[in-house]
Amino acid sequence: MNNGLLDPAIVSFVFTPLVGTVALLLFLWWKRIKNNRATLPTLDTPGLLLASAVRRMPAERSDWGAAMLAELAHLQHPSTRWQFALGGTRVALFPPRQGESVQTIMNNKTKSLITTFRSSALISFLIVLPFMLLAFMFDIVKRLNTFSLRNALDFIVVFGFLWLGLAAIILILMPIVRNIRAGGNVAANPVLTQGNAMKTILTNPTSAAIISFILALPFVTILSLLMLGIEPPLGPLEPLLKNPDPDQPEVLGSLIVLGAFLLAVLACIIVRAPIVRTMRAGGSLLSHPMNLMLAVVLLSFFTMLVVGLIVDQFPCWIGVPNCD
Amino acid sequence: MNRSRTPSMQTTAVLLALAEDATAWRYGYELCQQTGLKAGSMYPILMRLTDRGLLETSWESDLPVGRPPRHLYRLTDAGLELVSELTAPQAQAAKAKRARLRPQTEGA
Repeated sequence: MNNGLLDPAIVSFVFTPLVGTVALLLFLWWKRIKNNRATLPTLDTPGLLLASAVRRMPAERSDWGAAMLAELAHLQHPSTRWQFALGGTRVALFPPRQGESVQTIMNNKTKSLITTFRSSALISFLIVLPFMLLAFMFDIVKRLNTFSLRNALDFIVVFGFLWLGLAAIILILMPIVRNIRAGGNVAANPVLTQGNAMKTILTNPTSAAIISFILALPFVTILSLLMLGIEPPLGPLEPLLKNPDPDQPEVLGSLIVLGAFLLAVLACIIVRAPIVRTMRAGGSLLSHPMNLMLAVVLLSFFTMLVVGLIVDQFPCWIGVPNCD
Repeated sequence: MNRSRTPSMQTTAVLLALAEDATAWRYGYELCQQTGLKAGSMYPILMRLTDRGLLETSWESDLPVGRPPRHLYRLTDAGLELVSELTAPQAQAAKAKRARLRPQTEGA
């Protein structure tokens, strides 16, 4: 019987490794705290927690770590100490980056964009990894002898799209969540409209929305057709896109879908830029409703893609025969 | 030309709290209590304000017995300037509101 997320197969193969990983991380964290207790015997648990986190702070912020520890030493009440230590630990683990002058903000923006891309790619890869391992262990290993180029391409396409879909979702949400958490602090706000160079059409919310809409159109169309079960009329391109041999990979078709997908990801970045910029300046999430609506629609499509892929492919990953 | 940037509500609260007695050195927990912000929000704001040169920092010189010296904060001239920029529109708005209400009050 299928019980959705509580299906024994899902519980055994997905949640067990996840719970195991979390338990291992907690164990390592506890071990580190215990080691710290050996070197800092006079501290209580909130003190140890903050001291452990402060040790991880970058050198340029070490004064601030000492400041938080000193402040904690003056607090008496246990609940106040815990509250302060937990807040301080969060700051110590994720401190704001060293202050940037107005002149260097634009250069650092590129760096920040790369960091966001890298983080999104890494986080989504870590999410997809357990599924890849499942598919490898229970599907691919079983039929290694009959594994064809077509199977290999299918594997790459499915996990590639799953990875990109998750990365796109994280890419849209990450800067928005960061800004909500930062509370749109004054110093976190890059000066985006300085000079004429930045006054491009991409900084205008309306033109950003129009460009995003055009870029996302192919992906949205393809995914909508697939969901509705309509086969798109290919016309003269049919011999190119449809391989008569079912065992041969449809490389061109996959590349076109991938191109449409990447354009949609680009559309997401462009459409959310005015929202993020306004939020950094202390504005509201709802200040550009058209852009927000488009971002939500794209987010929904990416979510449908990811959830659809997992639901459709999961039986194959856990080795259910004839799952296609 | 640089666009003038509006600080968030939390940052403004910290700036105003520090501006209440601009000459006094304040410590982190005191500011947390005054503004109602948690340490997790307060310290990033203090760090960023310091990075921007709006805040100067120092360490407590009157060492309390058995406790480490606390980190202290005070607005710089640039910080005070920003506070006056922030409060000026509010003061103007209040003045305009008073001016609008005056004829009605006088008429009543």
